[in-house]
Amino acid sequence: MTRQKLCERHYTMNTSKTLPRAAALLAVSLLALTGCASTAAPASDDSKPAGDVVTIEDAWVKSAPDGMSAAFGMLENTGDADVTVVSVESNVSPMMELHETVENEAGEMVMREIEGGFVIPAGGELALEPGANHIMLMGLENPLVAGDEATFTLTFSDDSTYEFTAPVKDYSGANENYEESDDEGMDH
Amino acid sequence: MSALRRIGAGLALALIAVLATAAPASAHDQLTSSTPAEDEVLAAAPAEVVMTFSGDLIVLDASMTGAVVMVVDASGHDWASGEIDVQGNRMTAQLEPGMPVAGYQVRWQVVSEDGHPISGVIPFTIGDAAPMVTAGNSDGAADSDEVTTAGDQIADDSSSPVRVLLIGAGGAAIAAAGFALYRFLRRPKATAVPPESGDDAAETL
Amino acid sequence: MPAPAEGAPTGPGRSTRRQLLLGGAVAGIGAAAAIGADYALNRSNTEENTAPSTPMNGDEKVPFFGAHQAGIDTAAQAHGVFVGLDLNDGVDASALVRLMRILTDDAARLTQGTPALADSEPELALSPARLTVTFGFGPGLVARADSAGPGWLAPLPAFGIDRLQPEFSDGDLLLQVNGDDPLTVAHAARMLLKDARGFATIRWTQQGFRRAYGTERPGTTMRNLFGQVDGTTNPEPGTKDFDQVVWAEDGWLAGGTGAVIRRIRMDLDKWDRLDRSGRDASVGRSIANGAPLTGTKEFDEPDLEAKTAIGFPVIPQFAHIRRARGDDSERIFRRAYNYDERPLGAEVSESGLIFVSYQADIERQFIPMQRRLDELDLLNEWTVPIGSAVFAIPPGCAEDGFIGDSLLS
Repeated sequence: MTRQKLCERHYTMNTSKTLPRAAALLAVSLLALTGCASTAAPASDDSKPAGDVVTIEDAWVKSAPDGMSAAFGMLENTGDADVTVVSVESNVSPMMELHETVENEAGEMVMREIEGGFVIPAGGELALEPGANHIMLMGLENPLVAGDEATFTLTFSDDSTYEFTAPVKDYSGANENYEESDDEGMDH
Repeated sequence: MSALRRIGAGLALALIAVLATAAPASAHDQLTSSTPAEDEVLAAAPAEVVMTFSGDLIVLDASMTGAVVMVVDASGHDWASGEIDVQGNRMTAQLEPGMPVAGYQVRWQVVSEDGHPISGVIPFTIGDAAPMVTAGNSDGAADSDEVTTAGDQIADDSSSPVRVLLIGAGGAAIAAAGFALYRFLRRPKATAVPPESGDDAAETL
Repeated sequence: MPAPAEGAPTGPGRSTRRQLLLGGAVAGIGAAAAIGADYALNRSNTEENTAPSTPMNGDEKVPFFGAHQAGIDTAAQAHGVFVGLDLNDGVDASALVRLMRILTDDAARLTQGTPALADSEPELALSPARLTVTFGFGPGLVARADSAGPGWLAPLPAFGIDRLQPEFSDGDLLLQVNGDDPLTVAHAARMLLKDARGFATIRWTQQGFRRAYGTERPGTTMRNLFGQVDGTTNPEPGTKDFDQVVWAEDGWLAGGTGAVIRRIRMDLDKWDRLDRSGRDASVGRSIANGAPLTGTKEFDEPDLEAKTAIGFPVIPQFAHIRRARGDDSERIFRRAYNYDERPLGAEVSESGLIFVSYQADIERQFIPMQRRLDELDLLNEWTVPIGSAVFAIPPGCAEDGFIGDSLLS
């Protein structure tokens, strides 16, 4: 089932039976951060650069006084081919990385730079969210305060780019350990 | 005759229930005495009216809006001067001089200790005159649906014991009639029994 | 115009009904059996046939964007949380823009059943249940914006009956969160407060309730915990009358309104000692159905000239409705909530009313009325104002704007 269908279902849902409704709600909730506004007409032209077929929904950045932070959102690929984000730049941090969160040998969830970048499947999406894949801001130049906006530019494997802005929000979570500095969380 | 005994027991239970619900009525204060007293015949015109209540009165504001006294004659003229003093459970109202020989009514309204507005009428006469017989005033201002008789204290009567008893008796009669019908007539058809009129012409403010 | 909830008659009609109630025990058993059977029969029908086509209340939404903020002319929801915030030192006009952008985005999403950005509990946002979020600006916020508010944007004058507590009074920013589901309301309030945390601290919180969703027909005038029908004379949303009473027309507040929020403690233990006719007299209306003492139905116009047989006003001089009534310019729109908190000491209740009224001009419409009630109102025997706050409610915003943009941009 596509997200679009789920969204329609959510808004018009009539409750014929309890269990299917609960299941549908759960499905909707898992995708909730993507929002339901986009109508995402599938692009059939696979010759289009990745930067033209990728969008991000519900992007936001965690506020931080200095040091590190992270950005999240739902990346969508409306094209017919998989695309790969290989790097990212931002106006608020000169040093940026693409991170994944994985379980280490000790069973802890840790984050680390992802090898090969983020792959967004054709006609699909990739969630960037606390506790999972995210865009890492490694060295903030100024405090990142709630209500400000930060600009990001994604670069894809075909060298095309996609720029977006994201509001800054206070957020208490997203405190996963950074693998390369074991005892220091990203949250100061 | 066990059926009759059962009816009797049922009636007794109904009465007990009715009496129990009647108990909490009338928490507000009442007029306990006055000068002039009810139906008193005075030899000369009084200078003031003094009323004593069973509890302290509430003074709502400096202008004594909560305490009103009118002393009217048959023509509807009000002889109260408007000066009213409330001290604890006593209210004193000054009168204008020169009240002639006639029948009068003190019409009063106060707020009792529990916040309940209460009012009433005290008839009296000066000299050898006929008492004022009705409370209805002459200028047509009265539009209440009943006439208040002299000496009434008008407050909450909607749950007065008499009224509740009457209603309860009506209810018991209906129950008994229904039961009797069922037991003795064994008619499947129900007979409509009109509720007994228990309205005792009392009215709330 | 909604019909009154019941046409409960007064006077002789009422006593007839009482007789029937007391006397009709036998008939009542039969009626109960019949009703039970009817219910049982209908219930099976309902479950099989009609329930699936009934939309879930949780799915109902109130539009967020528009000329006016929602939550004022919105039919009052069952639950309300009111939060007064104090701005942190150093929060200036530009910080206020950032704050209101974030809060607007949160509110726009949450009221439409969409989780806020960075919502840690997105599942709680999925059933909006007519959630509305209404923002209000206190005098302090307008000063931080280097702007001026209307003259009435200040604490109300001191009234003799007031026993105000700072913990329920004043504040720079109001969050009014209303909805028909308490869990949705609590989540939305928390989400907003989390996003306001960097800018402001909580000064006071008041939680209130009305009838639950579906308990009464929509449009039924609310009752407070005294049992009184409360709000009969309100102008009706959607009418020119309402627009004139409520919406301001000038400056950055055009399309907005003024809000008065007063916490009125109600002494239910003392009220218990007052019987029904005393209660009726204190308000000037029948508790039973809200009809004025000179009428039979809730929306009958009170006859303030009517006299009893012995010449006293039927609606006493000290009755609440007589004292509250001003000329046509002194009208307000009430949208109150009840509160019922943990009692202290030997009392069994700590209850009252979160009095909420909206009016275009607080100075002209509200204060004269409150002065009269301060001077004389029998209801004051049982009520004490313990909190008071005044806010300017800015107008609504467009989808590309934010609440307060007419002041802050």
